[in-house]
Amino acid sequence: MATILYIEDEEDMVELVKRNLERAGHLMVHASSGEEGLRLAEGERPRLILLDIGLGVDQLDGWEVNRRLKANPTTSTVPVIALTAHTTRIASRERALQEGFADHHNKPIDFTKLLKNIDDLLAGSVKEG
Amino acid sequence: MRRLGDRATQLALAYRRTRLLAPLAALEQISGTLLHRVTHTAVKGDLGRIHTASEALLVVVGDILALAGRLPLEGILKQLLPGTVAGPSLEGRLPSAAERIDHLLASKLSIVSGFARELIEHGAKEHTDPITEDIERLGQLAAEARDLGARLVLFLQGEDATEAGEVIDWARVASMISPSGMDHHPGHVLVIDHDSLLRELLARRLRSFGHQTSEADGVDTALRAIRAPGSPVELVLVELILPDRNGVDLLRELRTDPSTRLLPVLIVSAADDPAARVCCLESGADDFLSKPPDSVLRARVGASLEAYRDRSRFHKVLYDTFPRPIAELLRKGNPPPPKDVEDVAVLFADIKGFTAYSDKHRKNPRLVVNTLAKLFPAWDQIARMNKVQKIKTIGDGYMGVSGLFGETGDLVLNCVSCGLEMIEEVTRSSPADEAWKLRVGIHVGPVVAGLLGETQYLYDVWGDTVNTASRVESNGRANCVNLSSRAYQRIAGEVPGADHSHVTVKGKEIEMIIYHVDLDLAPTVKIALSRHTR
Repeated sequence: MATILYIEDEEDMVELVKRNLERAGHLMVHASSGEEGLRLAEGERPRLILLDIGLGVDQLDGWEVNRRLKANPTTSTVPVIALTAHTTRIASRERALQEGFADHHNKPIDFTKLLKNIDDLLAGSVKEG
Repeated sequence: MRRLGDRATQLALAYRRTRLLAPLAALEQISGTLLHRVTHTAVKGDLGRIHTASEALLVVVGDILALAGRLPLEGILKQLLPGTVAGPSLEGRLPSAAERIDHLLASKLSIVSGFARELIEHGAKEHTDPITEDIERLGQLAAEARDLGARLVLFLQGEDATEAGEVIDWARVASMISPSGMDHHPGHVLVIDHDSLLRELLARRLRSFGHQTSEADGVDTALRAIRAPGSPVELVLVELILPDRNGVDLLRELRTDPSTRLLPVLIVSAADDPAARVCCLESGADDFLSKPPDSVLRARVGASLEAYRDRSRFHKVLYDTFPRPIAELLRKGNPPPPKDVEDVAVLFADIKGFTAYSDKHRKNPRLVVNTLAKLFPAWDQIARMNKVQKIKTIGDGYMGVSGLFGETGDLVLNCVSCGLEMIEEVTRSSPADEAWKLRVGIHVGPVVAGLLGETQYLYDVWGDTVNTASRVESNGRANCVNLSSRAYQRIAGEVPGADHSHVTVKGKEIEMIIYHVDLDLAPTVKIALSRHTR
């Protein structure tokens, strides 16, 4: 079991991800804005972060949140998975990987793939740690 | 997109819009219906999320489509998400308008498909079989909706994003789906509006289509005009909101009155919302046009008048052919079952001298028919007034009954009074050079009644009572209402002093006493009748 922080402003999405993470035995902590996410990343010490790139209009966007996570020594080693929502094939994956995200998933989320990805990353970080 | 005429472009846009919205509309509708059917709280919660997200999608995509072609993407985004600043480039710091819109759609769509999957994979235990199929359908629809964004962007860029391989010649469609300018027969239209100017405008338009018009400023004045004897009104155009009562009151009054039930009513109203439309149509309006009515008015009025005339002709034939209760049943599509009734008074009437008259005027059939054509409606009226139901006419003969359809009073007395008035009518309408006399026969007893025929219907009555009534008539005295002794016994207390004679009935070879009520007894009959109707 691992604590996973999910930064997402869409409530229903949070519910959906929470159910899937909990069924896989994880504990989910939720932040509904970039600022709150940064705070919880430091306070809750999650093993992994799921970050919605397209956060609300007036907020810090996902790219900026990731940059700040990476800049903070407390959180810089926590793997961050980028979640994007695009129906058209606008290439975000390449950029996400360039910006230091551990991986990238597009909505609608394929939870089988996401959970496998999470398990791999957690196993990797255990080995590293 | 190939350049098309304005109308063709509009039709093509509308068609593609509807196609693009179809998966969302289906998601919204099916999840909404399911939501009402399921009781399990968790399943209901997930369905609610799907429903809310698809509703939101329907609105957003509907808005985008409505603005498409009128605003650039940036403008559309500003309308959808006020305060949003769209970035210029694809992967720059600020997402572009296309990215923002795409994100909006993708987020909502992922909720729809995510929860549909939740229900299919994890909610299975909670819901019962009949809804499993619908929930799986939701999942399929969510998957179908996934490429919506791509199709939408193509659409916004003017590409045909409908199914590949589907080619529609929009110029041809536009030219084929066009008014023919077909003319309808003019009619008389009553225009009801409290505002005299709006009323005048509408009436002027109708007159320009060739119709005649009259006007009313409220429900009460309209009802008076419609119910006036010989009213020419064939169609009513009414504003829903009137100061005295409203258009729905008018509709209800017209629809519950058999004489105006068929009268077409078009609501033309400024109060144009779905609730008002539904209410009017439920109350029997033929259509609902928003005010001021567009070019549909001409065709709508014409078509309503045509339909009204068709229905009226059908009804007239139906009600003229059958007793009213039978016509009512037939109109509602319920053929009456055969029935036997214990106590029915049967009346036969036959004009003495009419056969000779028609032979004499054989070369002039029109004269003969016209004479009967005037006489029979007068008899029908007399029969109705006396609670006697006509069954049929046989040559110059007439057959009616009282008691078959729940008529009240003394059934024999009803027939006697009817017979006497029929005699008076014949005397009145007999041609100057003729001395027609009517012979009426009455008997009372059980009859069997039913509808005969599959194409040419006749509602008829049978039984010994009917045969006897006919024999009483044929053996009776002219200008008299002749009664069997059983029939006379019923009224002897109230109408005493009728002459009687003994006759031998042909075929039966039995003697029969027949009582003769003549016109001298008419006042006594009237008094007796008034006692029963009191």
